[in-house]
Amino acid sequence: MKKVLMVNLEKCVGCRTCEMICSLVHEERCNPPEARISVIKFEERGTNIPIYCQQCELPACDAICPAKAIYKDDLTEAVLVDIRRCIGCRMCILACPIGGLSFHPARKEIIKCDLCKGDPACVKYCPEGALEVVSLDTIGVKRRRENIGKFSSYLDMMTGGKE
Amino acid sequence: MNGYSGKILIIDLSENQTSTVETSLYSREYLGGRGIGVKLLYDMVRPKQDPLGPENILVFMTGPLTGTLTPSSGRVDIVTTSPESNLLGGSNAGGFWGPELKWAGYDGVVIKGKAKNPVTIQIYNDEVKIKDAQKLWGKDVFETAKILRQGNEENQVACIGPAGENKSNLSGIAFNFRNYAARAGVGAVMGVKNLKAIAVRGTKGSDINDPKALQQICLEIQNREKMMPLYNDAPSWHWKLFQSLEEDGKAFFGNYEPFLWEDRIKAVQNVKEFIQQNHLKPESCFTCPLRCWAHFSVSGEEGAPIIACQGTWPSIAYFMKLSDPYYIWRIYTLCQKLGLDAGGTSAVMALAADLYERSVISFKDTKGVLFEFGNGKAFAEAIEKLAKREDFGDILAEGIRKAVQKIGRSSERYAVHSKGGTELWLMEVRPFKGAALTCAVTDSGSCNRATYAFPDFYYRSMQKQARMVAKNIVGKEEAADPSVYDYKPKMTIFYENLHILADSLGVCAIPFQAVGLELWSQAFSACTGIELQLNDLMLTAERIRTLERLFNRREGLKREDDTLSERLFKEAIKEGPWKGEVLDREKFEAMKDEYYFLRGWDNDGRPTEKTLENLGLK
Amino acid sequence: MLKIVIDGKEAKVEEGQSVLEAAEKIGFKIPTLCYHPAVHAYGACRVCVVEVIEKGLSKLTTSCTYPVENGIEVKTNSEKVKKTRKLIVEMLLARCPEAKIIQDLAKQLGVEKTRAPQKNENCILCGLCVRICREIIGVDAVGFANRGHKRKVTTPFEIQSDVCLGCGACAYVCPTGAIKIEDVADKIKIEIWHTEIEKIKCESCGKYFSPKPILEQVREKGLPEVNEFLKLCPDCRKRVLANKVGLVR
Repeated sequence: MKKVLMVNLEKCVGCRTCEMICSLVHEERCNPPEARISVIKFEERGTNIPIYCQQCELPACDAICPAKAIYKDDLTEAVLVDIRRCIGCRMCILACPIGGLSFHPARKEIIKCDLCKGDPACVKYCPEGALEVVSLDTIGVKRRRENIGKFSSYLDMMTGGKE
Repeated sequence: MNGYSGKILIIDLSENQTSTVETSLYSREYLGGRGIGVKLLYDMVRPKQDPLGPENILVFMTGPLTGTLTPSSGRVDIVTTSPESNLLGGSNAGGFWGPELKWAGYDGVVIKGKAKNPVTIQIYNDEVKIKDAQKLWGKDVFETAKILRQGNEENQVACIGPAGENKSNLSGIAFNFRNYAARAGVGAVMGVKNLKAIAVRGTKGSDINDPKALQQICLEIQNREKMMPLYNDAPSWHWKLFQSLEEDGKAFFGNYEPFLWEDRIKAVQNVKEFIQQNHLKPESCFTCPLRCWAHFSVSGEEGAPIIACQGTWPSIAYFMKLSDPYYIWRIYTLCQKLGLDAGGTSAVMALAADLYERSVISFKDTKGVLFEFGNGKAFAEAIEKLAKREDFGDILAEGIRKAVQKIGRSSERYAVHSKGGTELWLMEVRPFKGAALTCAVTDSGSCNRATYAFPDFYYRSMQKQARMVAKNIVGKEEAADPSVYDYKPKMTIFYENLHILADSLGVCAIPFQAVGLELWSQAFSACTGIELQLNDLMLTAERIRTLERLFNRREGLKREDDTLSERLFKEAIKEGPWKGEVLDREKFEAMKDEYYFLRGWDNDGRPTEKTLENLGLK
Repeated sequence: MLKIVIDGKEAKVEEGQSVLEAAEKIGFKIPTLCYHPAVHAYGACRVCVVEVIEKGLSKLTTSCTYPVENGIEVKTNSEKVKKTRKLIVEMLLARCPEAKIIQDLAKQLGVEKTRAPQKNENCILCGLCVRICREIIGVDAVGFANRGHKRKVTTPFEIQSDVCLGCGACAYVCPTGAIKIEDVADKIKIEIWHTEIEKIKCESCGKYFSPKPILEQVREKGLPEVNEFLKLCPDCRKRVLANKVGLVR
């Protein structure tokens, strides 16, 4: 039952609460570089786009990881990193086309969105309700592709084939 | 340190040196933000210094809640000696600059001295660089922010425009493309120090003492904010504010005229259509649910991309009597770009138009620039000249009080301002006695900081609610009646204290009262680990307020300075729901007596020895 | 499934794993220094010693290299094991007195002083860097050289290894932090291996974000769909994606 985090861009007001709650829940501090979600702001255009791991069907990070440290969660199918198996080569960071993974600046470990075990904190704390988590069965692959936007060949990589 | 970043950055532009001091030296007694700003100003600047001299300091201070999960926590407070009033000058801005400064590791920045040539300060965590800014000098606020963010879109930029560079007393400091610390001529202080901009990028973050507690409190605060009437209206507040002003009769028109402006209803209609056509999307400041900003775009025109829904639109429309929404928006954008306080500039324009109408000044004085109510094009021209200090603009750039001094010809009797020449904010004070008192006694330069929350201001449209609020604050329902002089001093003190706390904690004043002090103090404890009783908070507010008064008294303030222009005591309102209202001098002075007493000051407005002892200010 | 006894507790464990791995799965944590789940066990540091009792005979062995067998009894913290482990750590401490991980282990086990002659090394010759570089990264940039007390980990001919990708995995896995990788403007430097590798500049923001060879490795071995993004640093990739999504609206 794959879970998907979706954002409604009409509702996002660029307040960055999601970055605050994400870093607070995972790292116990408020610091955007430690969040697994980044709000990219285009102030002149009035657009705010939260960027986070898309939990690809065919993840580029998994394809490149030489230690086979990347796996999918049993329940949510979120793409996760086994930190014990990770050797810190950071090729996954280089491979991800959207910057979905990063290296924690202090703890020196790979961090990425893990969908908070299926109950994402950002969904609960976004004051506008711009983020929601749905099961893929409910929305279907087509709707998910529309949500991500038709912009690149790696759309197939993210959603696992055309539809 | 939890909550706080722990250090205050001090930059001496004369010596080209940077150093830091521990925030903990001040945080216990002064909390943060405005409180610490005032304390630093009091300690670091000797009495009666020239605000435009190198000894004046410009303080940017965030609060302990700034940059945390706490909702509406994007604020930074600016404190300096105002060149407009030669007294304490304060302003405050939202957006995202404050949080970025916190995350860089600094609770605040203090700018001392004066650079030899135009510079920018670039802060990236521990790296603080003072860089040459000759190429940026002369550029407007949008261009400056764009250039300094090139390749580093995460940079937050605080900058001045040409108005600040030309030391206009009406200039403010812009934050990225949107938020403004507009009042008290803070832009001029930055400009005279040859400081074009401060660009910040911080990646260190904030430590939180009790993350779980903060999470819980965050949701509660969000819920309270969503219960405010403003929340549902926020996207349309840009024009609904006009309606609210009309319902309660709380705005003034032209140069504080005793008449209603006949085109005011038409103006509202025009503005409403214009905004609905061009409003694209609501925007919020950092962590705020309220979204009282909007992304705005007028096709084919280059304008301010993000616009506030607070008093700026009505100020421009009403003071200059502009019913053409295109010009209102043009002037809004112009003020933003040039780095001017739109409200204050509009008030100055209104004065000039009034003087022009009365032939106190002529087109010979203005070198051909027309000052005509309703003439948006002419006003736009005049505002450009004000920013550049060209011709008559050089006089107007001084602000109302100093401008009429320069003009002479008894022009002072037409001017309306509060102490030190500060332009009054949007609201009429003749019918609203509490607001009048607040504007008169304020020591921080801009009276809007405490007045707009008064229940008097919605007495006409929501009487029941107003009476209830008044009962909660001062124990008497009738205190909500605007024309009543009784109980107003208590009300003033309540709102002044509340505002000081909001400005010192680093959160926005707009939702502050609705959320309630209890929740804010819980957020403070969750972030910092410091337990604060409500008593402690009120005492801190008193301490900060009294220190503001001590500073101004040191600058020569006397009891008679706590007043408003004579016109407001002599000229009654001649039209509308408040017809006949005027300020009664005797009752006004009686309000002051009570206010001083409640503050623990003597009848001259001087803090007593006992008060100083109680507050630890000896 | 095999039946074993660990510290008096009976357990069923899967075949084909080491005693160390089996013990950890059941909840018995045995200290290690040179173990890493992604590479073969080497048994270099000896810290993970346990007693394995089979057919009544007890032997001390490294749990990371010993495969589970049916009917064995394992003691992870008997007096014999404790004494042995303490001696091992004492000797490691003598070799690397400044290494924090060994200092911590010593404190845990009650090792206060060392009787062996003091050295001032950082490397405990655990071979993790060697194994990682060979088995996982696959380039074999570093290896063991010399024997006996002269044994050390180094590059061929003690000059910059031309196969090194600059990935930094060696520094990441090193238990004592003996491998330091310096980020200097447009290069990374690994001083102990005389290595300097240039970094690639992001085409958008101009920041140096990755050593060149490891980026090329990603280009070669990764999914072809991502190649167009390799010239951008991860932060700029976020902005590029956001820009594209924003324009689509």
